[in-house]
Order: sequence, then C-alpha cells, then structure tokens
Amino acid sequence: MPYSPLEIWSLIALLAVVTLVARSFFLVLPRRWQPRGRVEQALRYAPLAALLAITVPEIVQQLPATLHSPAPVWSMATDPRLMSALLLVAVTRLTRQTLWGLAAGTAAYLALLHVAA
Amino acid sequence: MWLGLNRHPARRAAFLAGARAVSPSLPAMAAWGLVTGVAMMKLGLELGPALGMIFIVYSGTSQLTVLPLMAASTAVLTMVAAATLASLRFVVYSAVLSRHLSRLALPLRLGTAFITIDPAVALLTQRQREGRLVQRVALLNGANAITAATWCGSSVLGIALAAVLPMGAELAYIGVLALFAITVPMLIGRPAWAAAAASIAVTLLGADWPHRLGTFAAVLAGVAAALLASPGRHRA
Repeated sequence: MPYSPLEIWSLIALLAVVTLVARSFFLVLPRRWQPRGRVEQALRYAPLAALLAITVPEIVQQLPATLHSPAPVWSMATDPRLMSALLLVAVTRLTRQTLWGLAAGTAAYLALLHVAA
Repeated sequence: MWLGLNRHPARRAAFLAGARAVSPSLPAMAAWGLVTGVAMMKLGLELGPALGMIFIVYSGTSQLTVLPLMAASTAVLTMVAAATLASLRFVVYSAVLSRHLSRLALPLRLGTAFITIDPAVALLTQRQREGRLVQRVALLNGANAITAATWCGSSVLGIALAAVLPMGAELAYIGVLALFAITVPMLIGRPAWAAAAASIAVTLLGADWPHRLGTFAAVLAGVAAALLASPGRHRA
C-alpha cells in the first residue's frame, strides 16, 4: 500500500468528518428546514429501504448467471446466496426470532456452498 | 456521566430498554464488524490505521468503500468523495433524528448523531411517540452504546483473527445475510412493503451507478413510496 503515514491519518481524519457531517446534517440546519408531518412519518422507513438497497443486490448477484445456465431451475434451487436469504425470511417469519433466521440462513449458505463446490 | 443516568431512574431505565430492544440486531452488527475487521487486514492496512478506522471513522460504509480504492492506490481526496456519496443514507437518518435531538446542547447533539447507526435509527422510528424527549434520547443512546460496543469489539476481533480466517466472498456474504436479517421484522404494514418494493427496484436498476448512488436513490424511492402508501394525516 503506497500511502505515507501522513496520508493514511489524513484519510482517517477526513472520513471521520464525513461521518460527522452526514450523520448530523439535518441536526445543524435551521429548524424550519427540518422535515415535519407526513414526510417525517415516511422517513421512518428509511432504515428499511437503506438496508434492503445494500443487501438485495448481493443476494441476487448470481441470478443472471443462473438464468442462463443449462439447468436454470436446479441452479436457482442450489444458489447459496438466494436460497439462504429465502430460508432466512421464512424461518424469521415462522419463529419471530431474527437470530434463528440468521442461523438457518447461514447454515443453508454454508451447506449449499459445499453442494456447489 | 454525561447523560446523568444515576440521578434519573427513568432515563436509566430508558437507556437499558434501548440496549435491550436493539439486541436482536447485535449478531448482524457482530458479523458485519468481523467481516470489516478481516477485510482491512487482508487489504494490507497496518494495525494503527485499522484501529483508527474502527474507533475514529466509525462507519462500516466508509471503511468498506475506501478499502478497494486504497488497494488500487486512489488519491486521498477521491476516496473521501466516494465515502461521502456512500454515506448519503446517513443524511436521511439525520432527518429522522432531527425532531428528537434538535433541542439538545450542540456537543451532545453532535456526539449522539455521530454514533447513531442503522439499528438504533430503526428502533427510534418504532418508538418515536413513546415517553418524554429525554427518555427517547436515553433510549437511543442505550441502543447506540451496545451497538457501538458490539461493532468495535467484533471489528477488533476481526483484526485479530485475520491471519487465521479465510477471507473470501464466502465470509463477506454472511455479513450481508446478517444485515438482511435485520430488515425482515421491519416488514409490517403497507407503507413498509411499498418502501421495500421501491427500494429493491431502484437499487437493482442503479446497481451499476458509481459510488453507491443507486443505494441513495433507493433510500429516497423507498421513503417516497412509503409516503404515497401511508394513510392520510387524520388516520396516521
């Protein structure tokens, strides 16, 4: 890695500033610029939207390749990413426990990796 | 202590309630932190800067954004710009926090905003009508404290284990699965499903956009869809 210690620590300091400015952006604006009413109510879904936006592209990453494989149904049924995520949803909904869903999803993922290998 | 917890039993109770309420998302935070810690060492960061990233930057999003760019010898300011774009979802979160935190003294407001990440924001949105303001702030910071301890602890563990853990797409995907697990209990009601559908559609459309701008567009689309799908103010 070709960076000097000064560059590395400048990067760390600047990234900390990015963290602070992004996370406090609306908190330092005048109050009349802060969202109210129905917009504020809708903002409660921002974490859900953000977490899905980050994770779903990773989950369906293999899907284009799967659909073009010689046996698409079999490939989809053994796609570790997709199937572990679906199982995670099913188990979380059934048990109402995030932890069981995560455990089942992780186990399915590791198992299907071995099937695929 | 700066929250005055010992002098205020109600705040102390809210602080502990926040820590307890956010606990289902802690395995996800731990998996994500572990992956980030391992990734930093595998990509050649030294111990000091890696710890600086964990405790000073305190943003897995920024860390995971700059790591591949560092490996490609990108200029520092370019990496800062990329991290800024990737962090735009936190700007939306700050709008969520604004009602609850805008009356606090500036240092406490900025300190709280700095350490507030996804699970704590999600918790606050579920509890935003409950209790008095000071109790909601204590609730938020209870969630923040245990989330931060989990995130930093697991990142340090990841650094320590980097030499023995295999790091490929395999391990990284378990972190993704963990974050995905947090979202499943949030899918309750029409606005939530509308937000989810819009966010997924836009993030897939924008998968090739640079600097995770697709993620930010998906957050905005999700909030807009929730707004359209939510009942009017008189029923809300």
